[in-house]
Amino acid sequence: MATSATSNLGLLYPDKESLVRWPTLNTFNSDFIDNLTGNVGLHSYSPVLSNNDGKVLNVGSTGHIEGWWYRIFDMVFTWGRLLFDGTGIDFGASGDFWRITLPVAINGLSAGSSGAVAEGDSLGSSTLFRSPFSTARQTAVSYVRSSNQIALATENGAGNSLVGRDSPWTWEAGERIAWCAAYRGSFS
Amino acid sequence: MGTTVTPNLGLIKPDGLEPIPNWPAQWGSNADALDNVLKVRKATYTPALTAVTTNPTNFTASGYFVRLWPNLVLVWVNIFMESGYTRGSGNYEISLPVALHSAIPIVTSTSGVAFGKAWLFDNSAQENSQTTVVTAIASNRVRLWTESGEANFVDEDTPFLWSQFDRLTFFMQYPTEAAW
Repeated sequence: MATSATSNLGLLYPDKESLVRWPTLNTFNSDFIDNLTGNVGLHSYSPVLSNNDGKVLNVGSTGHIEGWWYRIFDMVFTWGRLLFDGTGIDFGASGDFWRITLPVAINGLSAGSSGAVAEGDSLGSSTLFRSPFSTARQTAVSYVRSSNQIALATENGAGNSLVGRDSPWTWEAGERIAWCAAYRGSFS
Repeated sequence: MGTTVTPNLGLIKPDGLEPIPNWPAQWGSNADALDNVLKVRKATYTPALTAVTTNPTNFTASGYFVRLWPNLVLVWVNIFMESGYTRGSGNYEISLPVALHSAIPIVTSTSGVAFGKAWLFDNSAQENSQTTVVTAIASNRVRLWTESGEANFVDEDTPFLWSQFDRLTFFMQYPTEAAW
C-alpha cells in the first residue's frame, strides 16, 4: 500500500508513497480537519421569534433579540436574550406559543411525532422575566420544537406550560427572556 | 503558488511547487495550530463566594473546569455552608475561573443571558430548595436569578435564609474572552 488511513478520521499518511504525492495527501488531511472544526471563534446571530404558525413576531422598536454560539466539532453551545419594548410589539394571537430559531439546525434530536411539549428533547434552560422583575420570574426549559427552533416550557405552569402570549402570564412591554442550549448541529 | 491555507484554522498546504525544505516548518505551524485548538485543559479552582455588602464566612467551595477548544469553558461549582456559617448581606456572587467573552452582555437588574443551572438546597427546610439559572454580573463573577423572590438575585435571605449545612451547586458553560 502506498497510503493508509487512520481508523477514526480517515486521515491519510503516506507509508511508501512517493514524496511527490505528499502535498496532495497533506491537502486532503488539512482540508478534512479544517472542515471538521469549522471556525473556532465565538459567533453571533439574530434569532427569530415566531408563533406556532410560523408568523414572525416583532419584539418592538426598542426591543432586542440576540444570540451567540460556539461550535465544537458538531456540537453547538448557544446563548440568547430577548426584550419586548417600544412600539409595534407583536406578541401573537390568543393562545399562541412561541418559537425561537437556533443558529444551526439540530441533528439527531427530535421534536417528537406530534410536536407536543412533552415529546421534544430538552436542550437547556431559560428564565422568564416579568415586570416588575421582583414579583415574578420563572425558570423554564428550552426544548426542541422543530429542526431549527426551540420553544420554552415552564416548570410550574398553571394550565398551558408552553410559553407564549398568555403563558405563564400575559406578556407586556419591558419583559424579557434569557436562554441557553446545547445540542448536536447539522454541518456539511 | 507554493502554499495555500485552509479557511478556518489556516493550516498550510504546500503544493508540488513548494520546496521540500520548507515543509518541516509548515508542518510545525500546522501542528501548533491543531494543538492550540484540540489541547485538553482541566483544573480545579476555589470559587470565591462573596456578597455585595458583607461577605459570608465559614463555607467550603470547590470548582472544576474544562476547556473545550480555545474559547469555551464548562464549570462545576459546589459550595457547602459549614457549621457556624455567617450569611453576610447583599447579592451573592461567585467567581469564575476564566473571564467571560466581552461580546456577551453581563446582567443588569433586569436583563442578562442564561449560562447554566443551579440548585439551592435548604438543609433545614428542604421543601424550600430551588433550581435556578446562572447569569454573569461581571466578566469574572456570576449571580443566580431567583424564581419569584423578593430580590432579583440570590442573596443572604433569598430564596431562603441561608444557614449552616445548606448547599449551593451549579453547572454552566460559557465562551471565554481569551483563547487559553
